Amino acid sequence: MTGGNVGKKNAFSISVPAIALFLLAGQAAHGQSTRTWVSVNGSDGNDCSRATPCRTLSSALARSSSGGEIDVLDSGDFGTVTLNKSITVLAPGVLGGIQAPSGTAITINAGPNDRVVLRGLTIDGLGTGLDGVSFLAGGALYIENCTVNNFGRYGVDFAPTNGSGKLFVTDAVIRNNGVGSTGTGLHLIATTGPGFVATVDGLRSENNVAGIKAETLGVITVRNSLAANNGYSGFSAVTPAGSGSLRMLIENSVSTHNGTNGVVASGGFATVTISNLAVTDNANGLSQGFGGTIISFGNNRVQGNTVDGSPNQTLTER
Amino acid sequence: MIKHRSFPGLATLAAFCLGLGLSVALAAAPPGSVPAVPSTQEVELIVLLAAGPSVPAPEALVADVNRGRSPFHLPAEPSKARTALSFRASGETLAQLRANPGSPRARLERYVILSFPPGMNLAAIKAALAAHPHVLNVEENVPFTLSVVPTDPGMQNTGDPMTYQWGSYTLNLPAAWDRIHGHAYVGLTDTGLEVNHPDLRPYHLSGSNWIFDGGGFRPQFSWDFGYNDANVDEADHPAGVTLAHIGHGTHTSGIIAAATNNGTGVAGACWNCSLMMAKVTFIYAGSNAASTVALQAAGTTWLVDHGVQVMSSSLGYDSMSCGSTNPSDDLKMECTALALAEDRDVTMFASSGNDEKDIRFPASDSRVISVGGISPDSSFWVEPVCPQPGYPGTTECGSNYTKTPGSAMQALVAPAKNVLSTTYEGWVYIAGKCGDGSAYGVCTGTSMSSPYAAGVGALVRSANPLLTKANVRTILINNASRGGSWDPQLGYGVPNADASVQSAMGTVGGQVLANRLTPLFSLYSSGAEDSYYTTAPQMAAAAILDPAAPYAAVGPVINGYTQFPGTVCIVSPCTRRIPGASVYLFTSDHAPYASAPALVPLYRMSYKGTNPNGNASHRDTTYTTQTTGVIAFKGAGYDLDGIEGYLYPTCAPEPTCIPSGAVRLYRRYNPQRDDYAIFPESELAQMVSQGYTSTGGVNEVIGYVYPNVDSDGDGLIDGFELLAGTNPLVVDSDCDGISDGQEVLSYPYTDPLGPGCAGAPVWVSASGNDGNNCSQATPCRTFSRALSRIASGGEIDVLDSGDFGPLTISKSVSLISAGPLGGIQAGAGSAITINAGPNDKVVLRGLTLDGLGTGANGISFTAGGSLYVESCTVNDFGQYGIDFAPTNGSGRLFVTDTLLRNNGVGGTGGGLHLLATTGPGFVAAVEGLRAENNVFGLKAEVLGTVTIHNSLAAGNGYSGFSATAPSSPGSVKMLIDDSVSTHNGTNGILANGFATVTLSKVVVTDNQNGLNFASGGLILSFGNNKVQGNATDGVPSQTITNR
Repeated sequence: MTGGNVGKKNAFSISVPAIALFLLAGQAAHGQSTRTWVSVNGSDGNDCSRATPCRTLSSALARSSSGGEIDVLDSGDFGTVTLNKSITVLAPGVLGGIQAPSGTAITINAGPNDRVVLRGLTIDGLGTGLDGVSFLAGGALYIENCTVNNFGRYGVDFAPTNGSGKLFVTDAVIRNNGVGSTGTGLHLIATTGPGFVATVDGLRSENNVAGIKAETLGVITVRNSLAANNGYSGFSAVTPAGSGSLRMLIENSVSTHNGTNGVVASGGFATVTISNLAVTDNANGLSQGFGGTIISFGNNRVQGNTVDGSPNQTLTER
Repeated sequence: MIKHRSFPGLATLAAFCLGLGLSVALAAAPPGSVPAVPSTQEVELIVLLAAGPSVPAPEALVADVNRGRSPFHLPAEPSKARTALSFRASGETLAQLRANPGSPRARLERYVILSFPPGMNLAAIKAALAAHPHVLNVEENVPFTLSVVPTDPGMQNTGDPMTYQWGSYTLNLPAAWDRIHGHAYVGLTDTGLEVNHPDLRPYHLSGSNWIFDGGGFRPQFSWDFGYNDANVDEADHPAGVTLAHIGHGTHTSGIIAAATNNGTGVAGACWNCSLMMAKVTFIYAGSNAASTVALQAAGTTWLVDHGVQVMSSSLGYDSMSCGSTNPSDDLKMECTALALAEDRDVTMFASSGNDEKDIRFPASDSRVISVGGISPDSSFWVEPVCPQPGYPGTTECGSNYTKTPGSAMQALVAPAKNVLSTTYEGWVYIAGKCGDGSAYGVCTGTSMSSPYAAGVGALVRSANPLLTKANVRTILINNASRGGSWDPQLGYGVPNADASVQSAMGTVGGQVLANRLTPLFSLYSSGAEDSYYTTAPQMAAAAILDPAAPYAAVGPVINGYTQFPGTVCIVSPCTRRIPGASVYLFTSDHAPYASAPALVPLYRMSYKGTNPNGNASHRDTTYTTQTTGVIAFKGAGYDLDGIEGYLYPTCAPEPTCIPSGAVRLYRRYNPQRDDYAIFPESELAQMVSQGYTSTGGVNEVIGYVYPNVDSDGDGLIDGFELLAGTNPLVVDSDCDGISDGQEVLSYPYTDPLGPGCAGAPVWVSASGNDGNNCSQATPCRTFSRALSRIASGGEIDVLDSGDFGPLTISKSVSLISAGPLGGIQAGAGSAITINAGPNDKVVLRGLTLDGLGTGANGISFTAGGSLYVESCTVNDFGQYGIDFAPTNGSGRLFVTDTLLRNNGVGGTGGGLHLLATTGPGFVAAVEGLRAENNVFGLKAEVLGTVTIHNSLAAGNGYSGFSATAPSSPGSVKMLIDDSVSTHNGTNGILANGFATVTLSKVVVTDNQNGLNFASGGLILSFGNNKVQGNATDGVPSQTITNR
């Protein structure tokens, strides 16, 4: 009845194809992302996005831009990986597992300014793998909320070949690493300057061949940590004869039940400073060898060791 | 102005109305002494003809009777006949009415009035008619009386000094006017009015120039049924009639629709309402006005036919009720008219009456809101002495009410005693009592109460034209003074205009909506060749069943409003009654938001006349937003119909000045049809192709409106959601299970941003969608969308690992990721910005914020009450991991178990930065912070205090912990307990300027400088700190003793 009017009022179509085209163009084929994902249901043929995650860390690493993140979507084992750039590996609330029955679970061999974060990972050597985390080169390594266990040599081997690197360990458990007399929970070594710089806060090093062992060149500050039931020493700082420079400060920590020394400074250039430390039930409580020095702030509890020992020097708190 | 026309049956009705009329003569013949209908008078019977092929059409029957060929074969035949409605349906409309003969409008079309000479046996005639197969109902054309107090001088304003509209305050109208001024279409059935009253006329001629006056009277919507012409002036009566007592309708008109805020006279309850006057009285006995049921019914029908939204009747009859003998079917003519009004969803008010008896008809009808009277002290209106000395016999001494238990209920009461309004200039209604010949005066009676209540009802209908009449009634009653309790005299009490308007507006997020949007219905008549737009459903329904040139609804359908009221479509298909609208208008001129431009009205104007196509049924309706436009169109022959709503005014420079989401509203002219149309810019090409090629020589864009776009299909258009703060992409913004549209549009409304989301957490998920309502089952995708879904104090939870995007927080909220990755990567800008109110609390827990080396700040706090950062990691920002810098110098920070690493670039930025440059200064508590490898670890500047426990600053390029303050103003206090500062490039601990750092059980080792203070800074020690192995260890400036 309103024939003269019908057309006039009904021009309300919407153009859709342009939108679809835009969406297609937005998907890069094989670019790198600042955030990639791994999942037990993922596939390494995927683009490692949240919707289509990858299966392994190594594949995700290839899809990640430097400085990016690899996030673990759900619990699983995501394979060994060598990290060669700045990267953060996060497993929040899920099992970010790596079992490495041989070789090393995570190798860091990156550039001098690269920063690697390992957070929330569970790394297992099954007794036969070599190292849990092996740092060969890089700027800084952060190990946070990780457990590393059952490797044949080191739980964490921080051994920058160029002698430079920062390590931050926070809230980690390192257990059952090393075989026989070989290996350590957390091992640090630099054989050329400037030496490693390490900060350890909240480490539990339990039942390894040795607890924490720092060698040759570097400085390490430890707090709120525990070395217990290790076959040899709990905390040890070692320099070779006639060289090296090693300083270790331990605050508010415990060394107990270790097979040889609770705290040992070995070598003429090794100094361990202890404060608020409990050293008990070790073969030797405080031990110095080959000219090593133990400095105390006079606030340590050393008791119940076969031989308690004593510091070389006592400093005054200020 | 004198008319020369006769009124059929005048003599009979004059006798009918003798006792009920309006005259000082009533002092001698008060209502209580009304005589029975004299058999010597001519009488009228109203007959409802049956429908069907064998029944003569009303016009044919009338013609037969008037030729002396009555078909009824009665004991005495009628001498004259006429159709009860003088405006007859025709053409398609008539066909539709005939197709549905049971509808009220179809029945009204079949009423005829038969006149009988004196001396007849009326009972026998009625019985014969009732038994006739062509007759469905027969009734006497009984008189109605006016509810003003015309004859009782004691009721009038005898020396009362009040000279202001006290009633408007009693009704709380001024507060309501702060929200809305009102623009509904209101109709009166009354005595007419002074059409040129300066406070009632819309405009007037000054010389050859039209002047805009703003009064509500609309001549083209008014009709004189007493004399069947267009002149509804109260003083317009046949030659030879002696007029007296003029001013009743002028007074009731002014109560509703006097021009307001014009510096003169009185204020109408509804400032911009359009007033339709159905003059339903005539003069009898030489000077007195009276009405009849047929006039009242015809007037009611006229008003409904012309789209009235609210009606008021200050007339009544004391012994009528609808359906008393046949409750399922209303047959009497006024009852049928009421059924028609009910069918069109018209809100009806009527005066209860003035004789302290049961409520009169039509107020007594359940479809009508009965309005009794109150005095200035808000008490029920009764005169203290009755009858008044000198006026024996009168019984009109106070408001009617539910006197007989179980009789019709009093609904509301409104001002009756000494009500000030417009009066007819040069006439005195009751000498010394009501009107003194000037333009304004007080009158008393429930005649004043009904228009007052109707004015409030008109404001409610203005606020939301889509409310049903049942909604309006509920709103008025629920908000009235008695709080829901009922009283036989006061009913539910005095309406509260402001509370009622608030109810009609609705509440969003706990706040009454400042304004609403309502569809501007779009219609077109091919018969009239007219594009027509209205916001009033009753107007649209009336146009669709226009007796002369029916319109059809056109345009995009309206989500949530799918059918106009009433039986407006009788034949199928019924597409013509499906509402359509291209754009929406504001319902109030009140600013919809703080910075909104002042809104302008959309005036509707109309014209009738033959167009260039030779179409004699042609009409044109046009629209303007300016009074100058009204005057210009008036000069071109258009009349102002009313205001349909409000819109944004044009602005410059376009398009940047156009309010977000709004579009240009065009007005174009089709010269062949002689038709103006208005439409959004998106329809311009289409309209041009339809011949709307002319701009009319003036600015074709008349303002900006929100288009009928409802992205989420919840019934609330995107523009409305924008204004309300609900989510245009989410059906149910507050996840309470009720769609936004239903919450805002369906009365009783609920709050679309109610506590649903605040009480229950909203959720984000990597697989979520921001079109969702953020419930756990249908989570959102981003933090910012989730934040917009909740009220202040709400909680956003991370359902599964993902990156949920940066956000700015302006209210109390908790963002919690318990287990999954609650990630935000921000390669530019800040991940989380907090700019909230002084009492707002923001909790960030379990989040992982990554600046990718290029983002600004992980968390930037510029304003708020408290910020909690718990179990978060913040890394790789170019400036600060956390920048707590309240610009007003006030704010509390709590950091717990949080890791800041790699923040800052070169010498700029750092881990945790605290800064206040004005008092009182920040207050921060830090527990379990690890600041590693940043430019600095933790730096506190200028004004504030920070306490740090169990924390670590390691490997930072500059200082681990530093406190720095200038000499003035400046005061930073930092206490560090049981913490470590190590491997930092410059200072383990630095106190610089007016800063004091207190150390306890702190290890400071392997820094360049262990303890460093400069420029007056102090480091206080409890003597239990371990400072060793730094290039320069340093010493505290003072040692204090444990206690």
